[in-house]
Amino acid sequence: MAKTYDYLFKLLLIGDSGVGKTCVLFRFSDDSFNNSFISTIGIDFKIRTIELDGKKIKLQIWDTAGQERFRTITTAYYRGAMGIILVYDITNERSFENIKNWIRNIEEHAASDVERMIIGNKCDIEERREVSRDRGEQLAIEYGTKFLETSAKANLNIDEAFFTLARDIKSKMEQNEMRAGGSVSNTGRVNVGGSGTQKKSFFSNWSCNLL
Amino acid sequence: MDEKLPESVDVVVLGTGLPEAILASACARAGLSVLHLDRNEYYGGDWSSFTMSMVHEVTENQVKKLDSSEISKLSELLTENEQLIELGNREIVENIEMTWIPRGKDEEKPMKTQLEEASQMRRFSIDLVPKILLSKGAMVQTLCDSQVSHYAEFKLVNRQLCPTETPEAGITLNPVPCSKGEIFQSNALSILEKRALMKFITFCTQWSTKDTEEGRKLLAEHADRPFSEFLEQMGVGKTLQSFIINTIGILQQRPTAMTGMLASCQFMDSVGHFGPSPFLFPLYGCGELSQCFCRLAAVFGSLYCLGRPVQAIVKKDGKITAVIANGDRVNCRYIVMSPRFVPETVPASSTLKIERIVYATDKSIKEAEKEQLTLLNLASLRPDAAVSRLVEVGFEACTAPKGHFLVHATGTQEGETSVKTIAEKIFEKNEVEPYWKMSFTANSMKFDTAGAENVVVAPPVDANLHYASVVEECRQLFCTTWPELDFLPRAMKKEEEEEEEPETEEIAEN
Repeated sequence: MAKTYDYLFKLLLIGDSGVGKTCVLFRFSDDSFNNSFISTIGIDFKIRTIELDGKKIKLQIWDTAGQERFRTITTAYYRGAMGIILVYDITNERSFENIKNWIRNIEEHAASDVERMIIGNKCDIEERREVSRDRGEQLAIEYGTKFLETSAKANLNIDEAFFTLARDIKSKMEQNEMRAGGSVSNTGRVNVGGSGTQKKSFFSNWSCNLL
Repeated sequence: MDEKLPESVDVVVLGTGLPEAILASACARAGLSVLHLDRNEYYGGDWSSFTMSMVHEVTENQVKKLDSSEISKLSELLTENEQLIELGNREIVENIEMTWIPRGKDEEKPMKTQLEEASQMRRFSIDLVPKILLSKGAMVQTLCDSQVSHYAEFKLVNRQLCPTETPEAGITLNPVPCSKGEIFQSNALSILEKRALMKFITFCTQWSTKDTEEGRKLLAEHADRPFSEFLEQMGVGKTLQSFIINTIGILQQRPTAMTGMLASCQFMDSVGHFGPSPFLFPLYGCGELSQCFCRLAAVFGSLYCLGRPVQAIVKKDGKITAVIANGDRVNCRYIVMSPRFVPETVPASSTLKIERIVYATDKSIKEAEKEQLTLLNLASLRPDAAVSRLVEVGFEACTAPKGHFLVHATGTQEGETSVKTIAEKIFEKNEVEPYWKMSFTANSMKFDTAGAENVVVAPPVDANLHYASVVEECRQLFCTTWPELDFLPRAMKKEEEEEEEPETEEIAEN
């Protein structure tokens, strides 16, 4: 069966509880928004395929499953992530300050070459702003990441954020591919969930052979 | 920590080791409200994997006993007729010793410094309980049904070695062929032996379709006699006998004809499922699996809180009514706890001591062109012991920096020769010089009860090669405690995922 995409990127959303990670995710994947705050239950990851420079890119975006509430994100969450969006809430100073802690977490557990981006969410609520745009930009410069202010509710800059991150990952990947001489080797990992990997059993092999 | 713990939940789970994680995910999946607590700042408890820079934490989980003023303070949280019971902190992992071994070739710069300077320390994933998965075993089935398989990746254990020892040559490590192709290419067997092996495999194929009773009948008087006698009678020569017994021996020590046949069928059933080898190893180490089940639990609403001093439980009329953590009272209907937490007043029904040594090396015990993930059954060198094996994992399984390996020795303590002695003999023979080692004793403690009817004690760490018994015990505990609920039932596929399904397969194949 033909592949329906050229690249698959695993992306993560990280940030304090209540900054709107799940809303950002839903806005991007389903173009929907729900105002009521419910701690994340039952959201694992969402998928949206986008097109960049004629290439189809499947984005698999993982939510924290609420494990950020007591800073108990599993280290396993970071495995294989190619891009991470750090989210804070512009109406919550604390969530902005904590971005530093989250970055430390990423440096400890994620791949060292993971692409990062900082977004200040809820920028539609100007009257309750606690963190100026300027400070957000400064922080991003400090960590050498891109920066956007977004609103999942007003649908501001959400697509831009994901497209920017995806573009950065894509160009890095293409550079690496060129350096590796056209193909990035795969190390033969097994995904036990995908039925496609399953081969015939030993028995069926043998009986075939014996017949 | 700005958030408070909930006042009341259906189930409090204490400890984030694999069995507790499986049980927490099963509870959350079944719709129970779950609070999952751990005293450590990390996941996995006594089943955890550590980086080289964090591994010292394994020695740091001391818990102070409550003094009388603390007890009287906590007692203020009790109501009438309630009794405070202090939770235990059993020594599941004890006698821990860790050393960097100075080596001549690192004279200029010790390996520790080399690794630190190249920031490679965090590339290690050092398992406390290294195990493998049978491709068609209970764990793989549970991972697939629950879709925890989304969170983990695996590598095939692509080399099985079987040692032989002679006074002249010392210990030689012989590759054991698993698949049909490997058998035909192997030089270790003659044409005649290969033919005998084919005959044996054909017999297994037929035997595997029979039920237990009929299978037993086919083995006739040999059923409970040693497997070797039965193989002899099938016309299998001595070399091939030891070959077969060594290969399946990793699943079944000292097999009788009956248990040997069962193990052979189990082995062959898993061969070819994901590749030539029947065994899988989790990428980033076995500690990942606990975390993956915790994520499933979290996706279904379980609340996670690590690094909390979990101090006591509250008992009333023979039942536990609450847990006290960090001075907060959380009411609950059930408690699931790892053996570590069982109150000191409750005696263990049995304790098995497991000897564990982990070595870090920069050379494989048997060098090959490509890096291999190796399983080595030491049973023939320690015939008295129930368990003795080595597992060598490296960069490909994301458990060590490139060019480095971890060698895990696991053994029960019967007999005169320790697994340590044998492992070190093998190193010497193959000119492998470990630069780091950690040794400890793991106590596999079983409890029939934890002193109250609504407390479930999770299965202990064990020395089994694979996960079937852990998964099975968790299932049984869950089904006995909550007979009306399903244990990790097959997940309903969302529409979106169905669309995606063929693509996922593509990824796996590429």
